[in-house]
Amino acid sequence: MAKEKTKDLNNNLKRLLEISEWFDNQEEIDVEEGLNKVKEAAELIKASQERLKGIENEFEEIKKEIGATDVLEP
Amino acid sequence: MEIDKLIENMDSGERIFSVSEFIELLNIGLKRSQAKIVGEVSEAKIGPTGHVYFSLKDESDGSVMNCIIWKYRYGLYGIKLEEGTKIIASGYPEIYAPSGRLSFIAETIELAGQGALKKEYEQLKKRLAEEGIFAEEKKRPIPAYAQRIGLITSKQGAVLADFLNNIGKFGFQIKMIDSRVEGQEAVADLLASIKTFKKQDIDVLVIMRGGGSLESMMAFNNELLTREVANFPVPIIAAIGHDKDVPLIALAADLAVSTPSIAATIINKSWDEAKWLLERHQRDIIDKYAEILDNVNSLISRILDSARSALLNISRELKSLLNKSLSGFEALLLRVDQKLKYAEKVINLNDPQRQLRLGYSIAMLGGKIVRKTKDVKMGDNMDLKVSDGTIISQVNKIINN
Repeated sequence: MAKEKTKDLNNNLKRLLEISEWFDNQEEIDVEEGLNKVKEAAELIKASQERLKGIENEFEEIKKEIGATDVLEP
Repeated sequence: MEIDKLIENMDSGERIFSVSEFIELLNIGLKRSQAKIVGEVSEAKIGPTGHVYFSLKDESDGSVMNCIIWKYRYGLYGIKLEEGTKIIASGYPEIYAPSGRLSFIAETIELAGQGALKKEYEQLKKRLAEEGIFAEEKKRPIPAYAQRIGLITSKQGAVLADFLNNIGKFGFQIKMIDSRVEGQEAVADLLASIKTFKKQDIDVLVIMRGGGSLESMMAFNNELLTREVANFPVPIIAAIGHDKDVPLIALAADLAVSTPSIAATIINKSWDEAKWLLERHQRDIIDKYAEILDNVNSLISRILDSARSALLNISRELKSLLNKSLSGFEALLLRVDQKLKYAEKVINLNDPQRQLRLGYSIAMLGGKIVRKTKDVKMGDNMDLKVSDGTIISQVNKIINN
């Protein structure tokens, strides 16, 4: 589940933006907390870059559901 | 085949059929006579069950064909069968056993003649526009990072390949329904396809076909289909080629593009942009953290003050992170690491044990370090700390410099 989370590119980008904004909003500088954020960001970026690294698409042909159209004929 | 055997029997005149058997046999043969016929509607009435019984008359010599279109089919095409309307019906002939009458079973009907088609198109377009079916404010954006894509198109032709060749490799889950897209016959197929996708978990639906004449595109101007597109639960991209008359489905879609490759590019867009977004975030966060480090002049003293071991742990974590990390972060983390090493050195240089090993000793009295002559008085017992222990000594002389 947690692994799935890091694969969600959209969420990763949102989190990265949050981290970036966290730095902007710091009044008192907390080096250790900053370091934790940098570490988190590094992991998010790594996971995201992997997500963008050419994952093959899945292709599947599905059948139309008949019934919607043809059954009403006598 | 059973049928061929029966026909053989019929040819040889050996078999005597019942009327019912014979009609059944004829109907099997007649069903193979699929055809499109054009004529003017001369009589039309809706039966009690909703099926429509009408006649098609040949304008040139007045020949008449009885026709039936079943209720559901009639509802599909949005054409009112009225006396004098010229239509093309496609279907097959059949003998109705209870009456012995031959009728043409119309599977599709469409208006005949470019002029009539154009008029129908314009009228429907106007009516739907007035209803707000095509309204700009109804259009939804194509979702960013769409992953599950529905496709409705014909497997034949280059359209599907054009889309698939242009869609990026971002792990898309693509589901495709092969549908007829040509002529009025495509309406039922397209309708079933859209209804099927309504129940599928997709982020975006793409309906595609190559260009064609107004006549061949009639299915894409169908009222029921246009309404289905307008009310579809997720955004629809229409990639339907056309000349001057924009298909009504394209007008009702959330986004209309001219080719399948453009549709693919639009779905790729957010994914492509994510690459530079990531780079930007990386740069941003590195810069901001670097700035913090620059601002913290007291980083070294903080290390000395408190968290030597905690930081050493972090340092170890950093090292392991470094190994799998990214180039931009590597430089930053290296800097932190260097500062930590420097801090360690400072700590070591100031370590009292080290001083003792070098031959210095520390004089203490009551737990306090003796720094000045006034810290002691005659007779006090001082602890003299050396590298391997303590020498207790008594003060018997004080000399001031």
